[in-house]
Amino acid sequence: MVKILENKMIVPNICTITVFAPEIAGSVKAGQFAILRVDEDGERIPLTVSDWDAERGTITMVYVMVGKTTQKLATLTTNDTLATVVGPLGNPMEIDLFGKVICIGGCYGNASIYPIARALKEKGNRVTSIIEGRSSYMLYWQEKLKTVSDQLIVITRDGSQGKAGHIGNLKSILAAGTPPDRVIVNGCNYLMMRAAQETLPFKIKTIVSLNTLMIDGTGMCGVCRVTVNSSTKFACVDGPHFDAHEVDWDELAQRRKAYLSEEVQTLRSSMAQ
Amino acid sequence: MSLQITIDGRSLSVEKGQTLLQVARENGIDIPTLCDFPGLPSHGSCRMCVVEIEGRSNTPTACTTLAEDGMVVQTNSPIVQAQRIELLKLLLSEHTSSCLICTEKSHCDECMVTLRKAGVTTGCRSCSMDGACALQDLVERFGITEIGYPVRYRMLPVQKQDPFFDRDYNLCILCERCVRVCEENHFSSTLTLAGRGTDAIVSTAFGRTHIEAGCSFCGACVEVCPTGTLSEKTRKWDGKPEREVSTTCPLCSLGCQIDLLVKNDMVIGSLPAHASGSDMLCVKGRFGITELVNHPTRLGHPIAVNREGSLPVSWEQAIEAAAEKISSCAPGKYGMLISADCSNETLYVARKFVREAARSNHLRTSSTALYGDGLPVLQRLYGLAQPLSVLSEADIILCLGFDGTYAQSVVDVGLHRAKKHGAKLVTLNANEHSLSKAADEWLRPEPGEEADVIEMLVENTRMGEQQNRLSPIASQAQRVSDMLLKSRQAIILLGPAFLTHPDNLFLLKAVERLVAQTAAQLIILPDSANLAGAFRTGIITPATTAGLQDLEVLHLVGETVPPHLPDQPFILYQNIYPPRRDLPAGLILPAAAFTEEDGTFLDHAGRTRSIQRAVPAPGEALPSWQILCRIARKLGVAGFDYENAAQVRAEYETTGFTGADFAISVPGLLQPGLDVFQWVRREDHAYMGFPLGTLVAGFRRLYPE
Repeated sequence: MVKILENKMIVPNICTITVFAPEIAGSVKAGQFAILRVDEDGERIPLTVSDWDAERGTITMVYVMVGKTTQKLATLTTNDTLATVVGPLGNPMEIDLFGKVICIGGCYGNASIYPIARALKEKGNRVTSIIEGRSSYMLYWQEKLKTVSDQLIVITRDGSQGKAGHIGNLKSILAAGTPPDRVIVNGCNYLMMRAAQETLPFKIKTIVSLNTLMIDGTGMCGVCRVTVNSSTKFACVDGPHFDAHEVDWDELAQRRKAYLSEEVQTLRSSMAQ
Repeated sequence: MSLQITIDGRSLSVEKGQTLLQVARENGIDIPTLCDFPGLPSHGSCRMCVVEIEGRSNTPTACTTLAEDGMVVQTNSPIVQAQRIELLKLLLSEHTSSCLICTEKSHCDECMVTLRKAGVTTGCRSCSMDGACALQDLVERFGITEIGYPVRYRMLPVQKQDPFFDRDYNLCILCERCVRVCEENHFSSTLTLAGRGTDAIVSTAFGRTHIEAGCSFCGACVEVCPTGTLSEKTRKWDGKPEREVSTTCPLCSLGCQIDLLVKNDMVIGSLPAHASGSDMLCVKGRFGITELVNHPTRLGHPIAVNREGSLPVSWEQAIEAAAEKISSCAPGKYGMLISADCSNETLYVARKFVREAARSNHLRTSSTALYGDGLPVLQRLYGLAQPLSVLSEADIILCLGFDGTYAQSVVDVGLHRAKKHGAKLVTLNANEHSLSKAADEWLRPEPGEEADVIEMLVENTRMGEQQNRLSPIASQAQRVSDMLLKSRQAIILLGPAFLTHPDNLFLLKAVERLVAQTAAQLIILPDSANLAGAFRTGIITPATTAGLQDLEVLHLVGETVPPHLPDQPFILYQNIYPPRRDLPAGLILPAAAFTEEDGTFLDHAGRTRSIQRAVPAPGEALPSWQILCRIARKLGVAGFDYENAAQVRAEYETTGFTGADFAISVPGLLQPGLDVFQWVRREDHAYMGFPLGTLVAGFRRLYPE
């Protein structure tokens, strides 16, 4: 049983959860994830560890309510417990002195990009962070990101803060200054795929952190299969970070929908919550 | 008197008292609206329908402005168009509007599949009303591409603690359609506008849950909501239906006409069939049906059960095994129990099947136990049953054991309408119920003493004069009697609770006398969908009880397995859900639900109501009457070659029945020692023998077992 220290919705439909997990907090690195279960017979969901405090033994994850389990998770509160939290899983993000790096986060990626930007910054890189959301009220962790970035650029769909539009803005950002040496993108498949399309003409190495369905997270089940550079990879043990220009995005999108009817079936209930 | 006005240069002749909006609509002039809704009084809150009137400096709303002689009106001038656009942008600035103006929205439909299931709506793609939203329509109509005002999200918690629908007031545009439909059309005041200015919000009084606030969950507010603020829990992620199929709700005897909403050959919702004149439903028909017919346990394939376990079999094997059991059964050792939830077609074929194929007299329904001793009187009373429409003729309505809180709430609305038009409302009920507050007189005896009060009314109306009354309820009964005597047209409404009351024999006899005494019209409202059909086919007859111990084959059609079967007969279990208790030995035969077959019911007033096949049945499930026909044909019995339900119906309609056919030698499924009364009682608010609370998650709160 893992104790919840805090669990709250920070912007519409996006929540942060902080749990007491000292083993994970003591060893996790930027870009790694944990798999949690809300209850013993519950679904297992992978969430990126977006912040941690090794001293206090806590890890913080950000999740979007998109199904039965995440909606159930959102009903829990301080001092409630999770059945299990397993981690750190997956490979850490490759951190080196690249020079100039653009870190892009959308949705839960506003948070999951934070430890990556922090590690890159600590390594001496010049870090530009870009976060995007539907509207100003969908953005969060901006202050945290500012502390680890040389520049923070905000994009909102409705133009209520920063640049108006979507990730299509990346083209003008790339064209404007010195081209970055690397671009890292965390967020929904669409954001990552579109960012990859924008960086391709500039031939900039682009890394994405895939958020496939997973069960065990240790390479046993194969649910997280992705095709990268024409070979099959497991996002959990071979990734989750891959070269965006080598990922088969169409297949990824299809696999994401594999259990859609079952996922909706569990939500088709008139029960009071 | 006729007036002359000019709208957009067209000279129009209009009736006095018409609003500009009405005139415009009648003449095909399209003025945009948001808060307006057919059947609701004009409100003027959204201001989308502003118009210019020559000689006036302001721009009034067309929905609240009456046409005046000589008026010259512009509905589409640059000024009103500009005002509408600014007003709409203001609404959008407090709505999750970013998808509406997103430059990449065309990609969303294919790419954001999983995000559609969002717990909290943050844009059109995760909204239950995507594609059916009034705001989307207007944004498109006005070609809005930017909002231009600072945006605001109120961060109000989404209200999910009630069953059936969620409420996300972050999406609300305060049109108050929900408040008005609840108050004006449903005589309920569950919703109100709380707070003022930027804090204004639709709410229940004191922010209670809808259950606490007395909501009957009729769903009218959800239907009129122009945005995704009110969303049906089970239909949030389905989007727009592909087609609608009109049919009849089978969850009580009212026979309400419903439109099934269908997508991908699945029933995703049900609404009142407005085109058939049905303008409301109760919680059962509005919110109960999708989970009921799409239940994950639905039977799709025949199963053979024996002591070793159960085995899937083909229909051919199942039919052959059933026929063999029936043909090898000793005479009189076959019995059928059939639910009064079945269609006339199934009841008719079942009756014929028992007599001609199984050659038995043993045909019964659990309704015989449910309605118990009072059945003969109920059957007589059924000859007098009137439809609900007679309520409008009444000047006094006496409601006996009626409670519309979570069932038949449409009757409540009819009663309130009658009261509004001057009828006195009297209710007799031992407990708090839906009419407690609305009634002019609430006769509230101790539980079990209801019949005494009716006797008082009978006696008083017979004596016709004021007598000295000692107890409060007796003097109240006297007042009611006086009202009945003075009335022009009294109506007596018999609710489900009295029909199945343990004392129903005395109650119904007293009602019979009271009806005779007062020349009242009678409305009878049983829970069972097709009780009238069961009476007509002679399946329900007053029961005498004989031993059950002799049955070798027990055939259950839409009935659950009775407890304590002493001899463990071979059970032919024909239903849409699997049995709740294990069968020792038998066959499980998957039947179609009412959404998957054609047929008819007789409603509470004996009128024929149709059901239509809207979707395919799961797997190989078949309409119940077809299963019976297949067994009969396998037995080599002629007369079971119907090609469709219409052929069955044609035969049924030309056949006369007498209950006496089955009055002899009844299998004693209903004898007191078997605790069967308990078994049946649990099935109030049930479908095919299964309590609704076990099938529909939201009903667990409303009908606790």
